[in-house]
Amino acid sequence: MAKKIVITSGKGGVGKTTVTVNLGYALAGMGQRVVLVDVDFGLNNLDVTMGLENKVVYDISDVLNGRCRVSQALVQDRHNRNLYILPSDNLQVASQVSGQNLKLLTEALASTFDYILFDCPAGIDIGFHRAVACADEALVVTTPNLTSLRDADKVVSILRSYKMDKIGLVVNRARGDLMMGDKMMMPEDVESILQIKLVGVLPEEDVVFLSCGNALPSSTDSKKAYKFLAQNVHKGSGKIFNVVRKYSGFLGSIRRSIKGSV
Amino acid sequence: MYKKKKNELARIKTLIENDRFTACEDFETLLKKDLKKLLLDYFDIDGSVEIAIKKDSGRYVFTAMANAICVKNFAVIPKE
Repeated sequence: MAKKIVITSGKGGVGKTTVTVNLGYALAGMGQRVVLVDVDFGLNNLDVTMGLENKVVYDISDVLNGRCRVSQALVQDRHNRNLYILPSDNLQVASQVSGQNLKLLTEALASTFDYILFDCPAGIDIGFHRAVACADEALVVTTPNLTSLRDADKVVSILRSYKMDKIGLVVNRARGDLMMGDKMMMPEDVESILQIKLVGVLPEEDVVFLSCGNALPSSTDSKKAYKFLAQNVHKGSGKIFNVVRKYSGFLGSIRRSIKGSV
Repeated sequence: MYKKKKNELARIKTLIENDRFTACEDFETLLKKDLKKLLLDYFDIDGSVEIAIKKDSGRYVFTAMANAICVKNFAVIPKE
C-alpha cells in the first residue's frame, strides 16, 4: 500500500511544488513507483514544473466527474517511467471537489503505487485541509526566514491536530555561505523553533530554477540533497545534506568571498 | 545589509510565542480569580492563588498553588 505524504508550507513560494517534483524524481530513481497529485486547484503547476503540460488530457476533476478512469488521467514522466502525475484543473473548480471524493480517489491509487505525494496549496484554508485529510504523513517545507517560519509554525499546529503518523521538516533554499557568516539561521535552529524532526536540507542553487521541466543534473549539490531527503523519507536513514561544508575552512572562506557574502 | 542571526532568532521566537499564546493581558488575573473562587468551595484559602504556565515540548504545563488552613466540610458549601 502506498505511503501518502502531503507537502505543505503555509506560506507560498517556499518551494512546495519544486520539492514535490524533485523528491518524486529521487524516490522514483530508487525504484519506487511514485505518483504526484496536484491538489492546488486553480493555481496548479505540477504539470508545468515537470514539462508535461502538453501531455495532459484528463485531470482530477474529470476522474471525479466520471468522465474517465483514474489511470487515464495519469501522465507518465518522460525521464523516469516510475514517476507519474495526476494533474489538476486550472478552471477553479475547487468548490466541486469534496475532501471525501479526493480521499476515495487516492485510495484507488494506493494499491498501484509505493508513494503518493500531494502538492498542497499555500495557506491554511479549505484547500489545505482537503489535501491534508488525504495523507498519513506530512513534510513541512520552509525557508530560514521569519515570515516563512511563522507560517510554518501555524501549519505544524494544525497538522498535529490531524494526528499524522509523521511530520517532517524540510529546510529549502538554504544558503551555506550566509549560514557560515552567521547571517542566516542554521537548519538546526529552524528545527528547534518548529519542534519537528528535520528530514532534509536543500541548498539554494540556480540549477533548480533553471531545470524546470527536467530532472536535476547528477553533479549538483541539490541532486545529492534530494537523494538524502528521499532516503530519509523511504527508510529514515537520518542523512541530511551538509549545506555549510563547502563554505567551511580556508577554501570555504574564499568561496564565500567570491559569492559576495558580507 | 544583513541582519544578525541572533536578532532574527530572538525575533522569530517572540513572534511564534505570541502567535501560540493568544491570551489577553488580564488572562492571569482572571484565571487566579476564578481558581480562588473554585478552591474556596473546598478549602479555607489563606492568601492568594499563585499560578505558573510553562512551555514544555510544545505543550503548556499549568501549575496552581495556594495555602489552605483547612479542608471544608462538604456538608456546608457556601451558597452564592
